Amino acid sequence: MARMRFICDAERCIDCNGCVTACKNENEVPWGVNRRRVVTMNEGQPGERSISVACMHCTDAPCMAVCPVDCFYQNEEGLVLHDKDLCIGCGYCFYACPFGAPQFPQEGAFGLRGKMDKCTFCAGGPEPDNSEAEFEKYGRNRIAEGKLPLCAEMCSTKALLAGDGDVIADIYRERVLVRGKGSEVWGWATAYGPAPHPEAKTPEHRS
Amino acid sequence: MKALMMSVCAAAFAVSSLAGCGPRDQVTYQSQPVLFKQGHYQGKPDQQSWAANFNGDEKAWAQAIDKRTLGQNEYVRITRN
Repeated sequence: MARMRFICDAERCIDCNGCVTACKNENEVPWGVNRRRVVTMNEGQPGERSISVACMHCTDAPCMAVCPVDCFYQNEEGLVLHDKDLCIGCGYCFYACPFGAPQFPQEGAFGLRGKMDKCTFCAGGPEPDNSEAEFEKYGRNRIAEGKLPLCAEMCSTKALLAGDGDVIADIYRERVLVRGKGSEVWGWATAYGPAPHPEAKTPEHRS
Repeated sequence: MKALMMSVCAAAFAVSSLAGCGPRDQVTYQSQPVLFKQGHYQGKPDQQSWAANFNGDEKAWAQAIDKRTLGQNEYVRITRN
């Protein structure tokens, strides 16, 4: 079974916000809620990079771990989805998420937090697939239609890839090999700094 | 005898009145109460992705998804054409 994932290629992202617009339009996301956003680092400086960020559908999702009413579930494709009928809008998931994915629409005169809304990988929610109730609460269910999330399918430079994690990792690896650079932009060294013992990771040392 | 009947009735009334003060299930699904158990999903069950539009044909659904996923690789698209 596929494990659905997103990858954003920072070498290709041009900060056009097409993914953000596609997401908002396709899912009719309410005002003030952004399921996806583009983050730019070192803006205006040489080496500026942008990446598109939304829920990353973590394998061991911290939002699921902290939810006091256990409204989250992972479906067979590994997507982290939730039941809005159970959500109490407490905001714990927002504090737990390292990507700031959970969003809370403001409701009422005093700006009370509504029920949590986040990227569903265009897979809807626990309401019957393609039903009106599902669309109103979670947006469109493109996965049930055999399609990928619109943010990735609309991406003009194909910086944002979506699909089975193994397949899109292969696509990204091929790109890096073709352009001869880029692996340093995204990966272990970026997240954790240079490896303390790089020789320990060479193939000769592995066997 | 009358006093005994009255005390029995009073006790029955008190028990039935107090029964209304117990906790009630807040969350229901298909009119059945959802029993809360910490750490387990409490919501409605979701359908499989291939159930609604692919008539349960998982293989056809996976093929449709794979086709679109691989279509994101323009190197493959170029060599195909």
